[in-house]
Amino acid sequence: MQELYIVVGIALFILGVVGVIINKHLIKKLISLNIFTSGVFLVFISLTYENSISSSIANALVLTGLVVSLAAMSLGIMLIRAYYKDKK
Amino acid sequence: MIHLIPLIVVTPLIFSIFAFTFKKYAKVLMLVFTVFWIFLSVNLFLQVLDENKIFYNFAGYVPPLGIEFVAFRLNTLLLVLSSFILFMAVLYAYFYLQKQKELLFFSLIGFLSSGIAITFLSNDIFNIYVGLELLSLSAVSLSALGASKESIHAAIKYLFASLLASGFYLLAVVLIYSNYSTLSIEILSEVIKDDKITLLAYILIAIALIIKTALFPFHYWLAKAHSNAITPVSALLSAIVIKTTFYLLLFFSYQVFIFDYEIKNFIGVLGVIAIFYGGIQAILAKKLKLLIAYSTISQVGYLFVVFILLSNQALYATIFILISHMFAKAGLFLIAGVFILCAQSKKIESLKGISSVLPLGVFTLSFSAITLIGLPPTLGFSAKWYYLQEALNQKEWILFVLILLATFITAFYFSRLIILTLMKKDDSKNFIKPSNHNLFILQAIAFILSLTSVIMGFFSSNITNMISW
Repeated sequence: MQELYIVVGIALFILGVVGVIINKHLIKKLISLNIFTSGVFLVFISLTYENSISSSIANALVLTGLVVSLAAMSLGIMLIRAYYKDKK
Repeated sequence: MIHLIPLIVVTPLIFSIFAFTFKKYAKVLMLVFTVFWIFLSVNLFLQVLDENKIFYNFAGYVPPLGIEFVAFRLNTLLLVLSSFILFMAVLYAYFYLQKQKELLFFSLIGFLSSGIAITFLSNDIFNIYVGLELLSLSAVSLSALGASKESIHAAIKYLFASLLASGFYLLAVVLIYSNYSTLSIEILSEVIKDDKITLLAYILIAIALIIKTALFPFHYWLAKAHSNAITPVSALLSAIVIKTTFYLLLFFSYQVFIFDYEIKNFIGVLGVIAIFYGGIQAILAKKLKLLIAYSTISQVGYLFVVFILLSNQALYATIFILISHMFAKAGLFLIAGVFILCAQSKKIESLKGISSVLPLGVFTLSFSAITLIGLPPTLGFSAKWYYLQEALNQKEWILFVLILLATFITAFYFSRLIILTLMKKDDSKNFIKPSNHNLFILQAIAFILSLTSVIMGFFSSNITNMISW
C-alpha cells in the first residue's frame, strides 16, 4: 500500500513540473505548481508513515510546508490579478 | 553573554510589522532598523572572532528535534557585508522613492533581511527551506513594486521559477530525512554515505539552488526581474539575494556532500557557458539596467567556476568574487538609477556626455567596472589570479584560456559604456539639473559602495583568514 502512495506522489510531482513548463495560461501554471508541491508532501508522508516518531516530525514539517505554499499561492494570485487589471 | 542570533533573526520581523501598521513612519523605522541590524551583526562577528563557532538552539531544544543555528567566520562576514549593503540601499531608497505605492519597499525590507539571516545562519535543512521561501517571496514582492506591466510580469516569472526551485529543494529534504532520519546539518555531515539516494538529493538541491541563483539555462527570469524592478530593489536582488543561494550551494558542496560527483563538474561547465552568454547579451543590450542585469548573469558564471576546480584556492577565488560583486553591482545599479533619472531615459545612448553633469557618477561606474573586470588591486583581480593559478595546477588549459578571454568581454562592454559617458553631449540633449531629485546624495551613496569594492582589494589577505567553515 505504501508504495502506491509514493508512486502517486511522484506522478503528481512530474505532472506538476510538466504542467508548469508547457502551460501558457498563468492560472494553470499556478495550479500545476500547487499539484507539484502536493506531490512532494504526499511522498514525504508516505515515506515516513511506518515509523511513529519520524512520522510525527514529518507531519509537523508538512504542515509548515502547507502554510508556506499557501502564502506563495496567495502572492501568485494577487500578482496575476494585478497583471490582468493592468492589461485592461 | 547575550545570544545575538535570535535577535538578528527576529528584530527584522518586528520592525517590519510595525512599519506595515504605521505606514507614516515606515521610512524612519526601517532606517533605524538597518543601523541596528549592522550593530547586531558586527557584534556577532566580533563574538565569532573570539570563539570561532557559536551554536544556538531555539527554545533550548537540541538537535535532532530542535532547530539549530550556527555562526562561523565566513557566514558572519557575509552577514555583516549584506547588512551594510542593505543599509546603503535603504538610505538610497529614503531619498529616491517618491510615490506612495513604492513605500511598501520599507516594510518588505525587514522580511527580506530575516530571510537572509535565516539562510546564512541556519544549520538545519528544513529551516533553510523556510528561510529560502521567506527570502524569495519577499524578493518577488519587492520586484513587483515597480507596478508597471513589465515589472509585474517579470515578478510572476520570478515567482514561478522560485516556487519550482523550492519544490525541488523540499523533495531533497524529504529524501534526506527518510534516509538518515535527521535534519541537522551537523549530524548529517557525520553520517552521510555515498549512495544513490544521496546523489539524487544532491542533484535536486543543486537544481533548486541553481534556479534561484540564475545560472545559465535557468537565467531566464533574472534579466527581466532585475532590470524592471525599482532601482534600490534591483541593487538588493543582484547584490544579496542571489548570493545567499549561491553560498548555500557552496556550503552543501564543500561541507555536506563532499563526494566526487560528476555533476559538480557539469555545474562548473554551465558556469563557464554563463560567463560568455551573459557577456555577449550585455554587449547587445540597449537599455542600461538590462546591460547590468546581463553582467550579473556573466558574473554568476564566474562564481560557479569553483565547481570545476573544487580546491581551497578556488574557494578563496569564488568568495572574493562574491564579495566584490556584492559591492560593485550594488553601486552600479544605484548609479544607473541616478543616470536614468538625470537623462530621463532608460536607453544607453542617452547617457552620452553625462559626465558633464554627474562626474562622480562616472567615477562610480569606473570603480565598479575595474572591480568586475578584475584589474589590480581589486578583489576581482586576486580572484581571477587564484582561478588561473588553480587552472594551471590542475592542467585545465581550456579553462585557463576561457577565463582570460572572458575578461576581455567584460572589459569591452564596460569601457564602451564609460567612453560613451565621457563623450561630448549632443546640443539637442538636455539633462535635468542634479539638484532637483537629491541626485548628489544618491550618487554619493552609490560612490561609497563602488569605492568600497575597490578598497576591499587591499584586505584580501584578511578575508582569506575568514574563509573557514
